[in-house]
Amino acid sequence: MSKEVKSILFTFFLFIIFCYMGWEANSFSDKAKFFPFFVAIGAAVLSFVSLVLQSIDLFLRKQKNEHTEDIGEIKRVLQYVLWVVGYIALIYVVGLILATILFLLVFLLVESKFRFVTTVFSTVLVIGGLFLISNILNLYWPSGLLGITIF
Amino acid sequence: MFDAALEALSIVLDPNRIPFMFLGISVGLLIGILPGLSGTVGMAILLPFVYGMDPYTGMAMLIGMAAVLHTGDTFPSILIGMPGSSGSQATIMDGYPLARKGQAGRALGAAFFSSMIGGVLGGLVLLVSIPIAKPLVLSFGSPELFMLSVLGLSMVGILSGNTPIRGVLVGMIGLMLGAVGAAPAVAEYRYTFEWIYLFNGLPLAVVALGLFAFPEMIELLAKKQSISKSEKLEGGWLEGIKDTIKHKWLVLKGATIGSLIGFVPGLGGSVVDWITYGITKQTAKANNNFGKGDIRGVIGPEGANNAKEGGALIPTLLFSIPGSGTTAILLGGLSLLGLQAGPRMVNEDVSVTLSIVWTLVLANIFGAAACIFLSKYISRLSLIPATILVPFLLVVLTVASYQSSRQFGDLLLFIGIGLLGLVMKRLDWPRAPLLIGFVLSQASERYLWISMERYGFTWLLHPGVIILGVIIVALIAGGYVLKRSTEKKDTTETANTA
Amino acid sequence: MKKLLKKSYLMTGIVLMLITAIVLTGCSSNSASGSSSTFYEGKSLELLVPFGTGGGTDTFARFVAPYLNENVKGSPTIQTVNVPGGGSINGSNEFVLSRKPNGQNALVTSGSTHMPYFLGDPAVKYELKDMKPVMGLPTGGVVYVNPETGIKGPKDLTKSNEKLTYAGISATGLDLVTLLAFEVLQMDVETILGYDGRGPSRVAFESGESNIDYQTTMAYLSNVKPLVKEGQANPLFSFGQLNEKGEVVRDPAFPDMPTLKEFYVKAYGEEPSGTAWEAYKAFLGSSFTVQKVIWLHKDAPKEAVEALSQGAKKAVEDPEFTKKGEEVLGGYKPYVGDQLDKVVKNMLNTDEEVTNWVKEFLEKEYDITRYQ
Repeated sequence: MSKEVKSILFTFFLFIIFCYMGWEANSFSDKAKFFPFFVAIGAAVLSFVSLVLQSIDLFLRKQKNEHTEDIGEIKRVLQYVLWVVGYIALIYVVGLILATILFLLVFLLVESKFRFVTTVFSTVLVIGGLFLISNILNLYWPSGLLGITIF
Repeated sequence: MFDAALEALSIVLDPNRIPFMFLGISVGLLIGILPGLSGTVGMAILLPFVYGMDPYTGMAMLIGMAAVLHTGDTFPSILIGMPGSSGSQATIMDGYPLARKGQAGRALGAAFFSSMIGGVLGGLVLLVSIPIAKPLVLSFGSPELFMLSVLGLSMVGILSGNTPIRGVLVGMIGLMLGAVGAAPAVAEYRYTFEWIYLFNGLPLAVVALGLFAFPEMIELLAKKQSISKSEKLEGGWLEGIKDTIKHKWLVLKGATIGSLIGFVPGLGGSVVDWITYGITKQTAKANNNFGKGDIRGVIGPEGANNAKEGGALIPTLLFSIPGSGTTAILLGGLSLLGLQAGPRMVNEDVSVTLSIVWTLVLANIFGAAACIFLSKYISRLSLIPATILVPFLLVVLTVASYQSSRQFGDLLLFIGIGLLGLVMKRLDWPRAPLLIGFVLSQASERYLWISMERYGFTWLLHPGVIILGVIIVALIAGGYVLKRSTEKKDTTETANTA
Repeated sequence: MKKLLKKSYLMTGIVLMLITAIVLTGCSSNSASGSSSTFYEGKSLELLVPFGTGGGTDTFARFVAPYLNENVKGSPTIQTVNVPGGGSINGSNEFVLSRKPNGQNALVTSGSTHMPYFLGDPAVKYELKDMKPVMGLPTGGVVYVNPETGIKGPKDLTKSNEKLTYAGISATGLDLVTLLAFEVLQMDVETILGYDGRGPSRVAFESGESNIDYQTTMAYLSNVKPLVKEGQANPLFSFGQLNEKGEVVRDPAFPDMPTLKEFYVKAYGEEPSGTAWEAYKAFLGSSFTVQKVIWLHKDAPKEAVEALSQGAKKAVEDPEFTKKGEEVLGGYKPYVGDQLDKVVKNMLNTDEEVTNWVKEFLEKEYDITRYQ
């Protein structure tokens, strides 16, 4: 799938979202409604126009632009998005500190190809740094569903 | 006035007070360097210490923090393309491309030097404008404030380059995201699904981090690159300073815009750097390199975002209207110090105000000097391969995002906006307009509503509204004409060479 | 200069190190368990502030904390924790739902926490009636007009030269009391809501966008009094305070200014009455008379409530507390002990009829349907 097609799909997605937001805005009381309602309608119209323009453009240029994206790169992008999502999900379950320890250990070994000693050393360093900075700066972090607190 | 100013200087330079100013400066720099932490966090750290201090010492510490925050936050903006705080967003546009070319040192040098000059000028503007501040602030009614929001929104057109429809569309996403949460005019929550996290609206820091930092991390990992594409760093901070001196009028322009918009209450400082960036680009000759690493795109907004701090103190100190989260906490600090913002700050308590001016000036000089010193070491960050840099960065960003409202929603939002940003980046959609729309959403809705309620359609005839309207049209049209003429010149030149 | 600089770097270093040390020791010393006779011996107390740092409620909490530490038996270490969001509903819910009722957690609320509770907001999970108040702080407010309206006192109330315009923030915030006052006085005021705070609404008054306004005590004294002196504002009445019997009496911060009640009597020759007046009194109580309250959980240990109440009483008597707190407390003496219980009880004993009337009033006049 080429970039142009994806752009059209994305625009279509925006069109649906704006339509929904406009519809939802219709149920607000008058004072809360005017701004989101008109912006959403304007945006929906504009995304529709953009949709049409992009489609025409694509249709006219169809033969010339057959360049597709590197499949391998897309796979890697998805892979790393999953890493991040997994990390956040882990935080939700076991809290930030434990999740960070697990995440760093695994990521540094698997992805960064660190040696075991370096991995453990870096993880300890990060946790120590986090502890210090959060105490000085009075920061907070999520404690997790299971309520495990290490410090 | 002059004697009083000198006396205030001696108060500020009192050896018992100076350490606290430096404490403020160090906290400000640290908060700035850590991506995603905003001035509110810095203020929250320092506030407990204020208790029991004398007003001069306490103010020196708090103002020292606020003054250098937008100096330090340039590091993440330029080096990793992530907003260090709400003030450095526009610096990303050209600073990050420069870092990717291996010119991080040059960009940082230019940024810090223009920050320093801008900050000092901002302090002077604060000093000069004290006598005329009141009529100036009072001349901005709701209709004028609405027009200023529109001026900010019109930057969307300038920033979206060759795809104006997409730019406007993205700006509208920002406007809609800004509408989430409590409505300004009536007790009603919009698009919240009765989830309390959304009642206060989406936090700016999380939106900005998600939009810029998340996609950048993923892309760097996927391409297995370090930030700097070239192996060696070229061009040190000295070159950056030379650039700044070469574009001295640009710094001045940025500082003027910064302190002018800074003093307008109710607009929020976050939009200042975008407006400056837009104006810098629109009025620059041969501006087609903007967004790809033009040093002028760094100098303009950096001159502005430190200058605005001086301007922003006017509504805070004189009218007790906080212009940002940072100044809101400053007001709390004032009352803990036994002071009350209001006309007293320029009458009975004028020495405190003057000491604030001096602190601004001194902190900007020291802060920028410290940053220039540090930049030599910190700019090496851009040579580290992504697989090593990113995991640590992710931990820092996660902690930073969570500080916005300390609810798990912050992290969910970070991923949600992050995915949106990733798609937009991969499809080459402009992302900056979203941030502009988001930042100005509340203000536009509020002041449009109040203007219509109060004046009907007659507000369109206010002189201030007309003047601002003319400026907006001139900026958009002028930029269009300028672009046309440079394009023509370019084509004739290529025709000649061919 | 250079020498000075060097010295100051050194000092900064020392200060930074000190802070680190303080922070580190602060974290490790909380674990000792209390075994002696007094409840708070060796324990800590966390003040949960449901607002962001630096706001009025946060400032109040941070100001009070060291005095509680000094005066509560056992000298508990006190930390203030901010849990902002949802216009303070979020933090208050968190306090009730997930903080332990062990007497080591207290909540600091404000008028904007009480308001959604009274109006029955569906998001509210806290029941103020069950909770134990420890200290309450009043504030007041004054309504003033632009002299160009020609209104000088109660007699001119209906003879304004221009249309009266009021710039407010939200009908369900402190503004509600002002709006109810207008209703009681049967004034015809056009209300424009949506301003960003009391500061911006005062600027709107000064720039002529509105011509009738109110400010709370501290803001009135520092920002409006100069205007009165210059002849740019005419004060009309103060909201007054609700005493233990539930009557409106003069505000101690404005002993020479008539309350709304006196103002009404002068204007109409009779005492105010009716549902609007009852509603005014009810919301005056929760929004101004006990504007800020420190609470413990309903099932907090008795000894804790006792110790904290005693400590609060002692703190309020401390002359330094009053002197240093002039800006934070606005010149008012906080309510403690029996007086506090009575005032809070008054505030919470709102007739359902009155609440329903207010809900209808909000829907009819201000388009607010959330509380139906």
